[in-house]
Amino acid sequence: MRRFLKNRPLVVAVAAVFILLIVALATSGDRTLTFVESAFGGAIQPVRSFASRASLAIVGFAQNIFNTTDADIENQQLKVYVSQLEQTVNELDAIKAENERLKQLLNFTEATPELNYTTGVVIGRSQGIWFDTFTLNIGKAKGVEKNMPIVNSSGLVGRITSVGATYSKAVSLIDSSMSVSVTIERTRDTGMVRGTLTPGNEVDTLELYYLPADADLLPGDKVVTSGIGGIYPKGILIGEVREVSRSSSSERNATLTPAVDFRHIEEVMVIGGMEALEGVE
Amino acid sequence: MNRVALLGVTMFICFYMDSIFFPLVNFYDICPDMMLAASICIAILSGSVSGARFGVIGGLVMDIAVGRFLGLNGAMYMSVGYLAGFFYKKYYADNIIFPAVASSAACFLKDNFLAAISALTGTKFVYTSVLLTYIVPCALITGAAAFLMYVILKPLFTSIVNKSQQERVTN
Repeated sequence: MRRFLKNRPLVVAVAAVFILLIVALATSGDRTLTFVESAFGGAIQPVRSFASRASLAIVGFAQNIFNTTDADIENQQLKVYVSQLEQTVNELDAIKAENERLKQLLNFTEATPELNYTTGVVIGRSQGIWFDTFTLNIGKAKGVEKNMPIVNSSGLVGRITSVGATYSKAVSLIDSSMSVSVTIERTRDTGMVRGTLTPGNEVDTLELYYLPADADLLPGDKVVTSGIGGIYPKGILIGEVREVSRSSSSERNATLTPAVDFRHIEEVMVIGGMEALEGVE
Repeated sequence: MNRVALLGVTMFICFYMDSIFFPLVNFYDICPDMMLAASICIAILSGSVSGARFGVIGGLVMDIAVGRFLGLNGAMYMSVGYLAGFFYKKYYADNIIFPAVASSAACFLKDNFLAAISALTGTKFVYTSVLLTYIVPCALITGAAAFLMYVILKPLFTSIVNKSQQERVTN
């Protein structure tokens, strides 16, 4: 013991690890970020936004290169000309795709005018499979608050868990800690959807639980939010049934394919004004 | 380039790779933990205190920017950095296999620790499946990343150390 106490760096390291683990435990729930976190996160946000945009551009460029293998058989001059044209077309395609995504987001907002929407961009994601969280470039300054739902043109993306002045962190729908009350669109049965931890799968998966025993569920059925609980507005698309489980020993009723492509989330919308919606209902 | 600048640039690159690049570009979710590999390489090159300091700062940056819990990555990377520092000057410095093996082992332990936390918080998963399809491949790729990182960092660290020794002699 005396030898341990004499080794000052070791004592400091053990104490620091202990303190950090206590802090981690204390900050495990949803919360408002501290001033230090908010200030530090805000300070590095421009760099992250730039790096995020640059990465997307690099990935897009690499994908474009793989898409132009036919040009290899043409002569050098023609190759240059073709690649220049393709570059222009790809740029136009990217703009068109972005325009389409934004248009779809606009359509979504027009369908529910009683809610207010703040558009944000994903600027970072957690590493590994254990926690599926991501960071948005909008925070308290834009009216974002804890627990606000996040959607994109395809459906429900997740919810805000912690908010800083200029950025916020969110947990995605496929995170294993998430559970959302849902309705089967065709039969109006209600159940609960949870995120899953399924590494090595090309497609993300959700699990549907707690449906009534006599529920008539078919592959392809659309699953939407039920609105129960007051966090998520009613009717947001979650996904569709991929596989129905009839096993009585399992509490799981079905496996769902999420509507959102969680591997390629770029722009999202944070939904505010849920109180107004409750007033309308 | 001085030592602080080198550590800063290394940390920024690892942060960028871990939080922006690899979430976009990965193979079935398998990607290396660059910050962990860097903490180990730095600890092996310059001792426990440097490794732990790099680990805790890098981990906290990750926690603040993209982490779920504030301090979890800080604690893990600091422990790893501190422990890897025990091998500082205790083996042949040109052995580039050693940092790779240490990083693989650390990544394996880290993912098992996170698996335990996930299981304790109610996440259901099949451990053997996660072990074979995620934990082991991630450990191997982190080892490979550490191998490359060590090859790059070692000459830079050596030149900085030599330069500072020369300055001391001149003064």
